[in-house]
Amino acid sequence: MKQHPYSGDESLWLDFQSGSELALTQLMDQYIEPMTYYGRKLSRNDDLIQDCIQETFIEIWQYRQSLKALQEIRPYLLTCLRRKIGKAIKKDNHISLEENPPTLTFELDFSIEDRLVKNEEETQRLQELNRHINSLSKRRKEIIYLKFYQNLSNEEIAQIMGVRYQTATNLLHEAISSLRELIPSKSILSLLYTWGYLFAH
Amino acid sequence: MKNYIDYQLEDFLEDQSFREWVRAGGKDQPATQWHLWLSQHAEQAAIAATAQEILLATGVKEQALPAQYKERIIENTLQSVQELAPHRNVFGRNWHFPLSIAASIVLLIMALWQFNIGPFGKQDPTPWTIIANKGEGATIKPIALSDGSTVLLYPGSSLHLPPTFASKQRVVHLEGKAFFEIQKDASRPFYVHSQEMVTKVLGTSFLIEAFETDPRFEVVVKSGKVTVSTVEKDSKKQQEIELSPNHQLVLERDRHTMVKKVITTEEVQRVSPNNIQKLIFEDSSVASILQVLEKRYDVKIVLKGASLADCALTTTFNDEPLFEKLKIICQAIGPSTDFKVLENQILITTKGCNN
Repeated sequence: MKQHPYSGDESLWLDFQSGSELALTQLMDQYIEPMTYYGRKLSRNDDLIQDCIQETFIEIWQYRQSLKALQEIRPYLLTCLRRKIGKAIKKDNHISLEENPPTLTFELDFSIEDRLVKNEEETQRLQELNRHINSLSKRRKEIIYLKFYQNLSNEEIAQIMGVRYQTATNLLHEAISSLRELIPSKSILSLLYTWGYLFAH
Repeated sequence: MKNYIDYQLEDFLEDQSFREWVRAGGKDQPATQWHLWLSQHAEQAAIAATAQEILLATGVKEQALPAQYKERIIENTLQSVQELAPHRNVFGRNWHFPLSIAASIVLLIMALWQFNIGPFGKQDPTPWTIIANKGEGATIKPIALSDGSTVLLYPGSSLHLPPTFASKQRVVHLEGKAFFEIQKDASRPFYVHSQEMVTKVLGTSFLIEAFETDPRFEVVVKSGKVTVSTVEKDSKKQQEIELSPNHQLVLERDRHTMVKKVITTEEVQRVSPNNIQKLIFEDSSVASILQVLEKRYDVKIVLKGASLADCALTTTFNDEPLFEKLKIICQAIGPSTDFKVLENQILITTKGCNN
């Protein structure tokens, strides 16, 4: 299972569309993990996520011949999954007193990569930065996550989140700009020093 | 080769190879391409350093997938797919044979688990509902639970509810801050999970403040008895503290310590709704009763339909949950009167008294 017969998304997708169960299996082996990680930000229920992933694969298998050719499979699968989870949450909303069902929200708290942090001073800086990142809107956090962790292009992110390309680009740009302002020039100097020191040795 | 010389902060952040380099330990690995390049382009080092800081502050801790999770999905999907196509090609079958065997073993283990009341057997297949107060306008969101309890959800918080409460216990998950008025039911304790803290009650009112990003969690008890415990991997380290009215508990999350102290009634009043002070209404107008409740709970109550200007009630309220109080009022007004929650408001619809 670990040795994948298909090396590129394009040929994998082509074979999948022509009805190869081998291609379907590789597709699942490759993408269940990233799909689950993304799904967990949209729902806390692992069983619901598992069901939605299963349904996604069964559905694309059923409609494989009518699907368009793909160069990149990941954004397509994440789009399908997001839609599925949204529907599942809506369907299972049962509180009768609640008029409007809760909409799909992206819940994630970024943490500090503390294994890579050396000293107290750096920790403090990163903590402040981290607090700010976590106070960003859910949409901005979702874009940062999709960009940094699912390695997607702005176009693909826009497709997944159902927003226009320009909207996605703006949200990402605004998020990064607000972070840049948070890093004082003094700390950059001290960083430079650190880096210089490291490079010199 | 990309033109790294013109790279701005965003370009570094958006470069997958740069991100991978940072997460792999970045600057501490001299033999890497990025290390080499940055040592030759000192003028770009400051921007790259900023980008690195942002990436280090934007970590994501993923919980590993449960054992056999992926295999289970693959096997389930293949099974459904094969059921969809009964006349399938026999020759195409061989390759997933080992997988079927693996799946049977998984199923066997799961069956054994169930006899031992393992985690698989206990899992609830129907998903939970998340109710969030997104915090726009900073109003409190009232939530009525199926057992008659009331939850007042503060801005920026969310409450996770099971499809139905179990027969032995009532469990909810809270992220953030909420005030609970729990309907008394001695046979079914009520549990509020918030990260590593669990609050257990039988019937009482209390406030929990547990935002995931905060270093400390707080519980303030208004009435009744509350037990707070920590969730620890090592059960020997688990602590438990019992609280009574006017007790405040602070959990210091990084030090894993819980401290209990007594606070004044004024302090309790300041942080929570005034819900337990006895209310006596004698021939009071419904409008004025609702006004008192609005003020005490800090919620918005809207009336729709007929005017209740000439409706009067005589009633006494103690410490019942808000929605129980509203139920009593609605029943007293007449059969046409009912209430529901709309966004962050409570809407009372009526055709007038005795209608």
